[in-house]
Amino acid sequence: MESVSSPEKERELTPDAFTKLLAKLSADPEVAGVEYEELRRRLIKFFEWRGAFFPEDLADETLNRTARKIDGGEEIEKNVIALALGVAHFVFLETSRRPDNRRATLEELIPIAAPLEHRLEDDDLRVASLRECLHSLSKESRELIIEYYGEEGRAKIDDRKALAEKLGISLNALFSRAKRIRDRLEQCVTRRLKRKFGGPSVQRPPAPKAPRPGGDPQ
Amino acid sequence: MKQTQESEDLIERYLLGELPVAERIALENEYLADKAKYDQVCRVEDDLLYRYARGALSQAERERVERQYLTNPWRRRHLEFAKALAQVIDVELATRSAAKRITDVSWRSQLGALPRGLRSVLRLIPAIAALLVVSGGTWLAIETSRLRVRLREAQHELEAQQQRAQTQLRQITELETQYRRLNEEHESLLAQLLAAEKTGSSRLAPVFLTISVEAFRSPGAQGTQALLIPPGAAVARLRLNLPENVFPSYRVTLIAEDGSEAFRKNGLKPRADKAGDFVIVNLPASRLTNGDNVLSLSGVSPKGEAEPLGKSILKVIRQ
Repeated sequence: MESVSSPEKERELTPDAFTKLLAKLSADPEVAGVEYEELRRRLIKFFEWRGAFFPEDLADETLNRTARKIDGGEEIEKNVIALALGVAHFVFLETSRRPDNRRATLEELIPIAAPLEHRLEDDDLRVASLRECLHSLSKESRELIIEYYGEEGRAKIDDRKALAEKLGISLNALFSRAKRIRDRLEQCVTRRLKRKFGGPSVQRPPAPKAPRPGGDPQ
Repeated sequence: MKQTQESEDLIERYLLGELPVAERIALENEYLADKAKYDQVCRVEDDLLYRYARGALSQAERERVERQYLTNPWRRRHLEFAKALAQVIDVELATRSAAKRITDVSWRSQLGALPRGLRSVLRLIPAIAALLVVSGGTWLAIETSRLRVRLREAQHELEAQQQRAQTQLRQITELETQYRRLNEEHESLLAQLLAAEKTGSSRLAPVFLTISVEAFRSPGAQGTQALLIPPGAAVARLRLNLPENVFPSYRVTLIAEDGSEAFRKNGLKPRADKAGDFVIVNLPASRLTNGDNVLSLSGVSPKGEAEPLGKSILKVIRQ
């Protein structure tokens, strides 16, 4: 679908270009690595919220192009993030204009009966995998996620405040912790389903070979 | 507080693809540059998906979420995960609650009063019972959670069906009203036809008269037009020639002796034949009085503004 295969992408990203990008993010290589991952995460969500089918690939392509621009001596007006944002808008525009990325309206599609039983089985499998993943967490993480998502409405807000107070952290910090655990759980479930079905639910083209600081954090 | 709510509403609209371009780009710039803003967007999305998973959204909200999240495999995965998470957490909480009830029962106090051999046997009973209750409780919790999800789905389906039924009922009522109106018109026309037949004349064919628009511009210049209406004639059909046809439609008004409107016909579309452009207007013969009748002609612009083109005197002679 929307994987990027422009001639520019074909060009290999040199370690030099990558190092220069990191240096622009922070003088401290360790901090730069963290900043890089944080920027990548935000770019993935940016593409996801824009409705892209392969947000990770587009985020990597954006970072590759940004690194190449810095390597090519491009003037940075504000900061690297602003530059990456400009590139991201362009990458999205470029991919959404491609004819193979055209979305059809529901009216245009031929209705096909959905295999309901299979879906229910999938749901059961997802729930079973999630239960296993939940029990593979540390006790603290498991308790936090259960308490965080345990209630609804007003009770939920009050419970979260109480939980944050108990842990001695702010509500924002509590959300960050819960989100990290939730993301880990989601990744765990995706991996398990992938193993059971022999492939991911979203077929991705091979990821671009860009050097990444400190390896894959997943 | 109010500002936070507004900001979260804006984010929710962004996530549902409902923000105008300028606001969308402004928000994207903000959250890409500011971690706190990015976290806030993530939190709003998380809450939205979790409320969806728990069936806490209205039908309209559910549809908006589904439009965005079910049409994209990447986003769909998040939605399915949220549903699974809600289900698993419900089960966990129910299991804990069941287990807590069991441990609350104090067996020790009762055991103390029994002989030693019997005590050791009895000690096993609560353990087995607890095991059975925990397993049963877990199974029950799983089933309850699963049934709850199915019930929510059934409720949503029922709501959708009720909405469809209401729409259909409305359509039926409208059609019935339309049918009644047409029936009344039909009966009225039938009554007119019968009345005309009673007058002893079968000449219901319209009376024709051609008037040039010049007669409207300079009344009297071409002399007064005379229209002879035979007995039984129901309609007088007038052809108004338009040497200069510059309006998309025209209006003809029949003015009574006291100056009031006796009849008005709007939206007369100009036609053309070899003789030139013209409009046809059908005047009910009953509205024409014996003697001089005044006809007014106006051109109607595309914006609907009427421009008077003039008046003409029509002398009606009833036979």
